[in-house]
Amino acid sequence: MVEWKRTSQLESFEREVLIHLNTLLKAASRILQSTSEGEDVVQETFLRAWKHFDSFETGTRARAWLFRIMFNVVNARKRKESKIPQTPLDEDTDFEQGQSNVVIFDPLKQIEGQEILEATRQLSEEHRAVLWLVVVEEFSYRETAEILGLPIGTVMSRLHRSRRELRKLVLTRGMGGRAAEG
Amino acid sequence: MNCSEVRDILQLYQDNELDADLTLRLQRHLEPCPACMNLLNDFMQLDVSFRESARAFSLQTEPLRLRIIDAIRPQSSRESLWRHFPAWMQVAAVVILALATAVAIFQRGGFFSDSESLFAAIASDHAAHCAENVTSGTLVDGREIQKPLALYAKSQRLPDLSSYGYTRPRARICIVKDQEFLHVVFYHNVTPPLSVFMRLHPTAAQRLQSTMIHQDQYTLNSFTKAGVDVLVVSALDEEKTAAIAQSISTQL
Repeated sequence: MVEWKRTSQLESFEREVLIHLNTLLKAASRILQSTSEGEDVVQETFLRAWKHFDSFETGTRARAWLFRIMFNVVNARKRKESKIPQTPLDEDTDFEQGQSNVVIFDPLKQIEGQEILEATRQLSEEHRAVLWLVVVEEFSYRETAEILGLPIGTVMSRLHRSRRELRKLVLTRGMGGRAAEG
Repeated sequence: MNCSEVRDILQLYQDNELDADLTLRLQRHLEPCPACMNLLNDFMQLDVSFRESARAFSLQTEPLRLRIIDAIRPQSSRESLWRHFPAWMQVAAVVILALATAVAIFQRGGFFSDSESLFAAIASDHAAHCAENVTSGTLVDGREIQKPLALYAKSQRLPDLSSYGYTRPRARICIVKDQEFLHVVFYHNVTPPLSVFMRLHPTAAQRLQSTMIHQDQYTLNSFTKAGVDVLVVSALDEEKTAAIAQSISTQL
C-alpha cells in the first residue's frame, strides 16, 4: 500500500512538477552561463521540490514555486563558494542623457535574437536573472521579487538598467554607433 | 506629462504594471511624440526578440530527468522487495527482463522514442487538422467515438474542456511518426483550437516523458497516466496549458 502510494506520488510529481524541467534548465544555463552548472542547480532544485512535494498544493503555480527553489539553491551555492563580484552597470554610462541623445529607431533594422542572447553575457548574473524572469518567463514584478527575495524597487531598477544596456549593446554593435539626433 | 517623465515609467507601461490613469496619460503623450514612441518600440522589439530566441534554444533534458527520477525513487523499498526471493528466481527474473528488453530494442530500433522529432510531427499534425472544414475521417458523434476512446485512451468519454471555453470536439485516428494516436481537436470562440493526442504506450519503456516545450508557435505538454500517453498542443501559455493538461489527467 505504501509502495503504491509512493508510485502514485511520483507520477503526480512527474506530471505537475517535472514537466518544467526544460524551462528551468534553459533559464539556469543561460543565467549562470554554464550548462553543467545549470544541470547541477536544476537537479538539486527538483530534489528539494520532491522533498517538499507533500506540502505542494495541486493547481498552484508550480513554475513560480520551482524558480523560487532554484534561486535559493543558487544563493546557497554562492554562499559556499567565493566568487569574483560581477562589475555592476556603471550609472555614468547612461545611454540617454537628455534630448540630444535620442536615437531614431530604424524600422528596417532586424534585431537578431541570437545577438541579444549573446549580449546578455555582458550583463551581471543578477541582471540576467531579472531580465529572464520578467521578459522570458513573463512573471510580474511582484512574482519576480518573491522568487529572487528582493524588494520590488530593486527588480525594477535592475530590469531598467538591463534593458537600457542591452539596447545600447545591440544598437552600437549593429549600427556601428548611430549618430544621435536631437 | 513630458518626455522625461514618460521615459521614467515607459518600462512599467511595457510590462503592464501601470495603473489605468497613468496608462492613459502616457498613451496620450505617445500619440504625438515619435521620439518616445520609437523608444518604446525599440524596447518592445528587444523583448520580443530576446523571448523568442530564448524559447527557441533547446537542451537535451532526458539524461538529467532520469538522474532526478533515479535519485527520487526510493532505493530501500526496491532492495527489501528483492531480498524476499531466492537466488535462482532473481537470476531468472534478470534473464527474462534482458530478453524482453532486447526484443523491444530490436522491434523499435531503439530503447526510447525520438521525443523531439515526435513533438515536431505532433505540432505539424495539429496545424494540419485544426480547420473545421477538414472533415474526412472525422468522428463527431458520441457513439462513434466510444470505441476508439476505449482503445486509445482506456476511457468512455472525451475530456470535458468546456470550463476553459473549448467545445465541439472532432476526433480522428492519426499516424504520426509511424505511431497511431487518437487526435481530438477542441474549438474555442476566441483563441485558436487545442489538440489532445492520446495512445496506449506500447511498452512501459516507451512511455512519453512528462514535459512542457515550445514547438513552432505552440505549447506542448506531454504526460502519462495509467498507461495512456497524452500530448496537449495549444496556442496558450505554459500555465494555462498545464492547467488544461491537469484537467485531462484528472478525467482519464
